[in-house]
Amino acid sequence: MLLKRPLVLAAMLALAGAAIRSQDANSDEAPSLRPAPIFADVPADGAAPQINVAPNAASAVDLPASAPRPAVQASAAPWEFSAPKPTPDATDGDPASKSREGDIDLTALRYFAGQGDLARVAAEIKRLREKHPGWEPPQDLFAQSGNSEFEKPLWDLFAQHDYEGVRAGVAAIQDKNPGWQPSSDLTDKLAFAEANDKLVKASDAQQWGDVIDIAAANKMLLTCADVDAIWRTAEALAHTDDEPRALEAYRYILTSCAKREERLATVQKASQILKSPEDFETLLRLGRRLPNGTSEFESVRFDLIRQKLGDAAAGKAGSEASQAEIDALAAHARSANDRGDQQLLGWFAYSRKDFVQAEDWFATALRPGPDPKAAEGLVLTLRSAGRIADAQKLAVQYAGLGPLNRKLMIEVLTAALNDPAATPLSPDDLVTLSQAIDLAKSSDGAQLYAWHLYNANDVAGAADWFRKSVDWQQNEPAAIGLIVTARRLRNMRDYADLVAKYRDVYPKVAALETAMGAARSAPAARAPSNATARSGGGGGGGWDKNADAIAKTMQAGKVDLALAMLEERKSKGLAEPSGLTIVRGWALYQKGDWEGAKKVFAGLQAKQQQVEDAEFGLATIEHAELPAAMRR
Amino acid sequence: MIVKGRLTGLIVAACLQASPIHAGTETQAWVTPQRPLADEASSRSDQGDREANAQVARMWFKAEWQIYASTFVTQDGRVVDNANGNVSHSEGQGYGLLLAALAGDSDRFDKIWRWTETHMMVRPDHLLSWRWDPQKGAITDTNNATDGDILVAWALAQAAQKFNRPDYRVTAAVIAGAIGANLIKNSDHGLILLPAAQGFSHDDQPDGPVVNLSYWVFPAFSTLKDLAPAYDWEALHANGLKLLNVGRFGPLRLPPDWLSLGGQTPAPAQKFPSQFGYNAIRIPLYLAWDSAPQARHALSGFVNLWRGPRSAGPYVIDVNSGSAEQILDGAGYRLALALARCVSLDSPIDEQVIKSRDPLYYPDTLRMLSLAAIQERLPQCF
Repeated sequence: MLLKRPLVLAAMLALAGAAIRSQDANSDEAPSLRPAPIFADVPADGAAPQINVAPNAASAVDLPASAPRPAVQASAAPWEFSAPKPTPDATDGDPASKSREGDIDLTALRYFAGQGDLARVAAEIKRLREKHPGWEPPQDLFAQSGNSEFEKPLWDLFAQHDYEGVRAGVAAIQDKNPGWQPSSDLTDKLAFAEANDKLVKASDAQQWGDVIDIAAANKMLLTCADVDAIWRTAEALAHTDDEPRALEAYRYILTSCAKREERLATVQKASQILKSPEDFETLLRLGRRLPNGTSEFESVRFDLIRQKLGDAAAGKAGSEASQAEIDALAAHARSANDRGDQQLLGWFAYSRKDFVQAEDWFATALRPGPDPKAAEGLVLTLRSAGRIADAQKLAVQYAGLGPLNRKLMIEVLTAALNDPAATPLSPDDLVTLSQAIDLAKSSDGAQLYAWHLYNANDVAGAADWFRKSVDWQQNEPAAIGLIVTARRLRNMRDYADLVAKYRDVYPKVAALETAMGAARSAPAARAPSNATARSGGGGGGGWDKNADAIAKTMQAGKVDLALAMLEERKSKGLAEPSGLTIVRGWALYQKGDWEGAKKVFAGLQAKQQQVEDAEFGLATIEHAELPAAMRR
Repeated sequence: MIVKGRLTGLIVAACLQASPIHAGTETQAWVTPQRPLADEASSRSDQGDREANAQVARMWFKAEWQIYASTFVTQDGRVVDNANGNVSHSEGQGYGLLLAALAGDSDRFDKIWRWTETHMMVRPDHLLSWRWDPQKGAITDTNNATDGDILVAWALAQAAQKFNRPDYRVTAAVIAGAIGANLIKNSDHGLILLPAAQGFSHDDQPDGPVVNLSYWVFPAFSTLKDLAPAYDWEALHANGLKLLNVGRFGPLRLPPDWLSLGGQTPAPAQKFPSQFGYNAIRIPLYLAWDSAPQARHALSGFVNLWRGPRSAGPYVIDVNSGSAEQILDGAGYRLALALARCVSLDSPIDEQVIKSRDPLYYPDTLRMLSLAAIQERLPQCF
């Protein structure tokens, strides 16, 4: 939910990949026109004998294996790095042909040539020569005149990436036409595509050594026309501990290749691959100056910081942002008044439990106007900082911004509702809360609000909200609440129906029934259910091993022993957690000391501790006290 | 029966050519024959139609020959080039003889041959003087033209067999021997065929020897080998295809009409326009006619010169720049190139292309030669 920017970057990478692939399929750009590959010829001792196209994958991988993986990295500098000339103004990877063609528009000419239509090509040449006296057409219009008709189906197969089909097609044509050769355009592109295919497969399978071998044997892949291949090779190099050459690969792209999105993606990739921050800085310095005076990679630098902060805020493992990076983004967030960055910094601070910073950033982000996420951040921050009243106030203020804000408001307010330590909510807040619960159909909010009403002696109001709560979603506290309110309101038919309905669903209701049965056939020694005993575990602080032992004793039906243990505990001056007090209440109840039990439960109710259990106990006793005729 | 219907249509169409155009008239009173009905047209490609196709192609060719002959062949057997002052040349006589032989028209063949023998066989070396001018009533250039010689020899050999005339074969052998003796030469680029006895050798041209590959009538070579086995026609054939492959220039990789073999590598000949033009247009036609598989391969460089009725061209093309020059405007040029496509790519020939006629001698002759090749060995293209 926090990380919009890294997603944008990922999308950008995907786009760059798509652009590369589509360029592959474009037959207008012959491989021969591409700039020099990044790796110069293999030196004499070099790993990879130059092969044009390997007939199958195995041999291509095997050939360079004369220098197996460790040797590739061990040899000092197996591949010379051909220092390519930067091409600052080129708009694609084909500067040579562009400059040669100058201002003359050869689109139609190349189109007709691509169609193999000699007559139209000749007519277009005539037109261009009349328009541009002295102009000579490029000699490479047709790799091999007349091939296009034969090759058309082959190119179709090629477009479908059926490279085996192309090879079979070539063989079939040669069978019928001895001496026929496919155009160099086709063979070059086929070799390129096959090698690229192999490289991608090896890379996807994380066969890093194979990737390096394939790249070494097919240097034509490593050009600006296929930066994806360079990225994959660089990744393989980095994974085989050859970071220097990985760096060289990235450097090649940044000094030779012109496509903006590919350059950005290169830096992004390098940031994930290169371990050395210095190496990465080296790459960032290769950024070109934009017309506005900034570096083309400035945004990338921030994107990377954003990613780190976002990962940290989301609890994901990743490299941590340095304080300098955080400061840089903070300065940018302030100066550019970037709400996204301000919030990101807020969430980052929140995740670090630096609530002062978090509050500052969220408040800053909210300054221009309401924003759901920033408001959520601010409320959560205040609540986590223990500033409940402020959290409540803002939660109510921002509840209308969105469903999540409303949900948060219900959470914050209902938490305060039944907390005796919290400041009581104002009548206005209560109205706001109840409206929000209705709007959000918050089952949990409804039952919490209902208990609040119940405790305030609005039993009928509580019954309404318990009903809403179970209508929105079945839950045990609301079911208990319904039973208890029915009891209090003397709706004995409802009471019995509810008990019957929920007896098999909720353990506490079953326990109630059991207790009632026990009471009728008193004095039976029945323990409260596991659930009741366990629920004591959560009730009140000070639950310890002794408390556990007492609850278990009670569960085992040893009521007298449990009471004795409770007295012993008391005599030692140990605190009695509210859960244990419930156990005491039930023990007294089962001993037949209903008045004693009533007092214990009522005491808890008064202190608003274990309210459900206490109410349940009281209701049970009331029920037991009823004349048999009314018990129905 | 569909075939019959079509045939009837064609014959009716042929009969519509009631008034022959006499040689020398500029009238274009030829009528485009009616299209066959659609179902008949589609039946053309049906399986099992091949033999029927072949029959129809032969019929169609014979009917067209009558029209062609009545248009361009005079009563005394002179083939008239109506675009060039109504001159006659050995090439035209050769074409006339060839078409008459293939059409089984022994009368016309005999007439054309007698005129040719009488007016052109005037050289002591048994080659034909190539040009006869009606204005002068005489030969105006006694030099030969090798393609004319080849065509006449080839036609005579075929007529000898078809019309049972051994005398024709004797003459054919004499001419074939004369070609071998006078025109087949060794060169730095292998065995070559000089375009004429005079004017094209190393001594005659600044960049000589100069050859014209459209004079190498490839489908005739096997017959010439039978007629004059003393000469290595097979090597000549192979070298012609080789020169065709290496002698292509410019962005369109086209051969020029006239090719210089004086240098280290072949080049467009200096004293001629560096064009793929009226001469070289015949190369794909001869290659399509030729049954040698290597010839079929060599065709691939020509298949895109014209790609059908909705396409541009074909053009005379400057081989160096690839630039179009004048249009090769004639049904025969288009049919010859469509035939090349048919043979090379198995792509059928548009019916209108087969049926269109030309008012001028040269393109209409190429059309007739294409039809001859089709009915001889390529009925699938019909």
